[in-house]
Amino acid sequence: MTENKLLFNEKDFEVLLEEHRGIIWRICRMYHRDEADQQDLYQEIVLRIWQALPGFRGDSQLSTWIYRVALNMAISGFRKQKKQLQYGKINADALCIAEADDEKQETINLMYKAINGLTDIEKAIILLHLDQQPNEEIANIMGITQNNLRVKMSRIRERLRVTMNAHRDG
Amino acid sequence: MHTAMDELLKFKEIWQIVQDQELRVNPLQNRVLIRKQSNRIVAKFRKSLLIEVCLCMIVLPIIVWALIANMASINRNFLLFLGVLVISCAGYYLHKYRELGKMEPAAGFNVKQFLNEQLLWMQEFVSVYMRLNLSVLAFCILILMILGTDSPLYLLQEITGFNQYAISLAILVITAMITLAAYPLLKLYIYGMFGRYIRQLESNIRELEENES
Repeated sequence: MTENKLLFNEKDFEVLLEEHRGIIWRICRMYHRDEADQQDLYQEIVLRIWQALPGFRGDSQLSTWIYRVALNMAISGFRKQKKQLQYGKINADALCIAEADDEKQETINLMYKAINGLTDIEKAIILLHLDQQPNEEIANIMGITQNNLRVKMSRIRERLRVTMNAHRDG
Repeated sequence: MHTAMDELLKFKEIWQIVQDQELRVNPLQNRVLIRKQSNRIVAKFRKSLLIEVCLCMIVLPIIVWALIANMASINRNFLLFLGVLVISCAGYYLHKYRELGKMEPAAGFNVKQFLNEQLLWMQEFVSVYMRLNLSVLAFCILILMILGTDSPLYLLQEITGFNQYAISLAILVITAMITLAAYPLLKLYIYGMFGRYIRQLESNIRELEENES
């Protein structure tokens, strides 16, 4: 299937979306705790991908391009005030898994709590890192140098460690 | 005590679980999504600009037309000139509205480039919005002045013998002065509306540019 065919065919677009839906959902979850907000962002990202697809020149992988579009939508979306993390509302589906394993659930909640304390830019970097993207690709998506990325990553790691340790101690 | 590296490894393990929890989306739902209108903040800003331009294009010329038909003290040519000015302004802002549509950053830019372009877009938008509001304010003041002073001006013309052009000029000068005086308040109001978003963009760009040599 060539990229050009994807531009004009809704059915092909659905296939494309199905293949990359995971990326979009993870970004929506990373930036919004509220399910309605996640749905809104998902809609915006899908719409934007559909509109911007004719501009995709194929000079990067399609998944890289989708990361860019989705992160651009998530980071540039205006939030009036940062919502505090609500444990009860975090990922209702994550809670389902947790029923089988309380410890795992606790760690999922803690992970989101720690991530929620990061800035929008840091969230993007940690998401790409957790999605196993190589450093070169992360730097490319973010538009920063790899040195800058290393500094930011080490800061993010430290912030996450402090949050997790604070929780364990407290 | 866990090290930062330990935490990240643990996060990666957990992330694999989270990845498996993706919500199921009905393919038909995606078709609906791509037909919906964008709810982005930038789309909302543009829409509010379009509404103001349309108001300026339809409402103000109607008021000016009503004035042309009823005013005694004001020179008809002056009012006709105002009508043409209003329509020209509306045309100019409609053009600016279209330009803003073309200026929107490409969604596939890298994050830093996108945010920079978005910031430029916002600055241009605020500048156009400010000019539009200033123009509308000036027209409103002018119309109110003409409406409120028609009879006194007519009497003044009778008593002093000033011609209609001199009076029209005086009205224009007073309008300009009031508009200039209102400018700082308008600026405060508009930056109050859009300033937080601009600051959010600036802060994200600053963060990305930290440690760049």
